[in-house]
Amino acid sequence: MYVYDQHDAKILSERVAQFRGQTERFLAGELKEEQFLPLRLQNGLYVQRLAPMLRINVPYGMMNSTQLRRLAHIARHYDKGYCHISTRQNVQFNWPDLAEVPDILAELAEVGMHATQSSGNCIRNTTSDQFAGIASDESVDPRPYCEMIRQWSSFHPEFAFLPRKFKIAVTGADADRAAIRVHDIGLRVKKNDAGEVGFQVFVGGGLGRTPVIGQEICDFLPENDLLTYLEAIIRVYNLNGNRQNKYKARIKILVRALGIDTFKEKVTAQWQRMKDSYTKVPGEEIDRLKGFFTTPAYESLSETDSTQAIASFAEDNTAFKKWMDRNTQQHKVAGYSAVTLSLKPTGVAPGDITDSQLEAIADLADKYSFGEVRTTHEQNIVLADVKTADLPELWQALKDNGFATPNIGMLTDMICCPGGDFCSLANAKSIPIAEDIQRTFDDWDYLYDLGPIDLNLSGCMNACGHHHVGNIGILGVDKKGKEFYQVQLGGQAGNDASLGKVLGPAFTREEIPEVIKTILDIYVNQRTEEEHFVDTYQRIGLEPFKERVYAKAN
Amino acid sequence: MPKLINNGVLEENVWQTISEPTDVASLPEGKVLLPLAFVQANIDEITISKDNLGIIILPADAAEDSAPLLDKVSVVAFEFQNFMDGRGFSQARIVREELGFEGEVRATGQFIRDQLLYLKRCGFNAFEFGDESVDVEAALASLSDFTEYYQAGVDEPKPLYQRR
Repeated sequence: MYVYDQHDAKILSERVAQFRGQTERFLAGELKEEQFLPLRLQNGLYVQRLAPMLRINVPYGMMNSTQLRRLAHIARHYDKGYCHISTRQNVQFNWPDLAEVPDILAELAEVGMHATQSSGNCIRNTTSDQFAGIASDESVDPRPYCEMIRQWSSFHPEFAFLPRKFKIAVTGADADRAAIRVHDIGLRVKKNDAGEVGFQVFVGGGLGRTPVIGQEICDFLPENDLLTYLEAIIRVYNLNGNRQNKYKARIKILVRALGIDTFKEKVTAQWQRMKDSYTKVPGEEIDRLKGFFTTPAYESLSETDSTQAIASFAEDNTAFKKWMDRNTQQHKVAGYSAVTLSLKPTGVAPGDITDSQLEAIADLADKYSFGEVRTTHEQNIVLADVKTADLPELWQALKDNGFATPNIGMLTDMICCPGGDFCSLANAKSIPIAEDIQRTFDDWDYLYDLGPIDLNLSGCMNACGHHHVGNIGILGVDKKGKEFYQVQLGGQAGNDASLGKVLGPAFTREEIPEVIKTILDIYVNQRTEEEHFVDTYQRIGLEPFKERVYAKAN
Repeated sequence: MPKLINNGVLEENVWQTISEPTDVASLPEGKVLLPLAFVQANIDEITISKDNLGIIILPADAAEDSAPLLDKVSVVAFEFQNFMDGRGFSQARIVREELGFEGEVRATGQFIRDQLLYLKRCGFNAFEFGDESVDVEAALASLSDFTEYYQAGVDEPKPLYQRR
């Protein structure tokens, strides 16, 4: 993983000093509230329902054990002993004291972490595939390019006051696990027939009030041109995006208004004027960045030996077998597996994690996975490089610490925003609805029989819970001061990204588990042997679900 | 006259901003900043020397339109009507980097002290605060919030990796 040198450290310490000064001026009344607002947001600080919320960046989801331990320390000393993994791979603290935030940032800077541009109308943390570098379906490791984007976008002087926030996601795999089509810019790094590395570039995707699937603007952009091209796109957006209405200010609205062809013409014209500037990245710099993402010291193992070593344990232990089937992932190196730690046990807010759990993960990462972890946009944590033979031992340790819920990719592994319990934007609560669903669907045999289903839940139309791209999406709405829940079906985030369709009028919180049950019953009755939920939906459409659900409700 | 930050030092502002000029004949003596559209429309009648002439580019203007005028002016001013509107950052880079203007590039209006360094990195070298309550002397400190940068800017055209 990328290691900070003295330059990175200097920039970060200057940032901490800058924000400390800004906070002091604000608290002394020298900086107006509305002027402090974007400055604190660009340091990840929101003012929430109950307290400020501080969002710490985890660049493309990568963290080491030292950083985890520092997060644990911050949770314990500055917060209430826990934090939250967000749907953009970041870490959120819900209860910091504004006056202490500069101290927290200073503590983070010591371990190469920060909250720079984790909020505000600027380029946000770049996200990626949680299995980057280890996935067997990957053609190019996206992380060196993510780091390239991180450095270029951090404190970018031109793009700190964009019309609206700007999110970039990168994948290098066949299966898109980074949801690149629902980002302002989505990048797929790949090789062409000549073996050269380049990017397929998508622009104008996004969720929120107006969900849009991103469109291709370039089918193969040479790797050296990545930053100049991004700069051209964002300059066109900065100059032409809507600045009157914040709900129409995202790049997706501009792309749609101009049409992809006209937008592309503008970008190309701008790019022609800057593509040979110093921002064009030379091969040596790409090689230097690749040097940070070399493979760890894998042992030379045999896949068959490793599988055999745990076969008898798995045979005697169904619980382990189930966990292994759900929560581990094939690794491109023989004898290794990627393990997903579920942060979705019933009764815990999805993505929440305590200080001692963070420390436990740090210890496990040191012992089993080269001291590194990844956060996922599904709000879980991955140990990416575990020896397959170590899985039984690791499983025991994960059970002891509450991470072994065997539900990855299942109905109860929901993406869920903090909702009305914490967020001041929310129209409705989301965490209790997630818990209702987890309590209703507690039969593992039934859940496994259902197969993979993405259930995504947002407490408002800003869609932090990605409800538009859930196979089942739930959206909290407010009707005359009361909380209701709208259900959508058929969304998906990967290669065949599509937006869910609204089933019909919203339901009360109490009705939701029964509604989900009815929807699942229809799927189970109608599916063919091989079909996942979303396949059946695509074949039979919304109507059968609608009829049954509302027949029942009436 | 309010204070101006010019190339990192405080100066008296000797330029008059004429936001809504009626005609060329009624322009005052001395150094004047005039709207881009007015100068474009009246370029043949304007006889003001380069030393005394500057243009004001508004957020909605196309910065490229200033190209034919740049050898006739010594100041290009960008007006910030609201500090959250960041178009001026891109416009200034276009004027500096794409059109090669080497004179004074001035920020006027409602930008804030905490933006000074980014403005400088985008090519601004003069800052005229619209808010008269700003402590300009204290604001100078914000110009050096950072001393190291990752990416290219007008002030430092090489990205950090070329200097590591």
